[in-house]
Amino acid sequence: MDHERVKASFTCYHDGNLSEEDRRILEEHLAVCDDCRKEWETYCRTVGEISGLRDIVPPHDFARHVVQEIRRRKVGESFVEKSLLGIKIAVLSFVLMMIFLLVYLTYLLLFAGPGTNNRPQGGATERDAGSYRVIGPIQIAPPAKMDKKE
Amino acid sequence: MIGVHEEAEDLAQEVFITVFEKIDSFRGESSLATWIYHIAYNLCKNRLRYLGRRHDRNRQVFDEMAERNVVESGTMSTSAQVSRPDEMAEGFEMERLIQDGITSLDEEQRVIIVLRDIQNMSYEEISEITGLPAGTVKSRLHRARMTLKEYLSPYLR
Repeated sequence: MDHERVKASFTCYHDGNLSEEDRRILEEHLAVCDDCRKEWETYCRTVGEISGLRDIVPPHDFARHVVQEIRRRKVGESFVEKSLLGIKIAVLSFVLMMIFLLVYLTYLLLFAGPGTNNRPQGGATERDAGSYRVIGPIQIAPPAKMDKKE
Repeated sequence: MIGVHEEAEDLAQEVFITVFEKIDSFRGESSLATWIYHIAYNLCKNRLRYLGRRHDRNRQVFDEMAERNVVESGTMSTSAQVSRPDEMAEGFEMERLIQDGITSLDEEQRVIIVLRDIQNMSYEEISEITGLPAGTVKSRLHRARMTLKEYLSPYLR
């Protein structure tokens, strides 16, 4: 058995997955090869050190946080999942918001934009910073009487 | 596994919330523990991808955490079962090195070594959790152990 093959067998040997025959050959090699034996010892120490790592202890309030988070999500879910007239509240809210936005934009385009022809009726207007402002009812004075010169 | 203490804590919380939400889908084909590990494995993978995208892989060492654990648990339960301060410091240093070594492994090898050597799971259980064939599990475990051996050999007496 060559050195590379021995090293390649370390994991199987360590975990007891080598056949009886391979195990015997490997052990014979380790008995006579100092380099491979040192490698094997380092391998075993490495696995031993990894296995010896302490368990990570969760914070003492870990369980409480988990329960709190579950409750918080449940409350959020129950509201969003509720239905009104067969439509989910989340969908209904979205549709209402879009309608409101549409109405608002339409109003802005028709009545509040500069240069519009749809000025408010019923009064004189004054151009003021791009919009029209009603300043009072239109007063139409009767035409002044013309004095006829004889 | 994650390499950042706060992320790991957050993820552990997420695992139990997911377990609570999906407990109805548990059909008992595997043990409950394996099923929970499977959820944790998937969440870990997703979080690592997310962290990778954010380039937020600041591998935080666990020495402070180790200290906190000793204070909280009041005991030491690893290879560092020592009573002298210098030996205790050495034990912490070795733990930090091992943690660093594990974190430096690529994700595929890291999960296998954590499940096999830290959680003491069998190859079959690891296959169930990760969905990998037993042969792949063995080869990844071997590569991970050999990489860690090279990494730790200067520090092993």
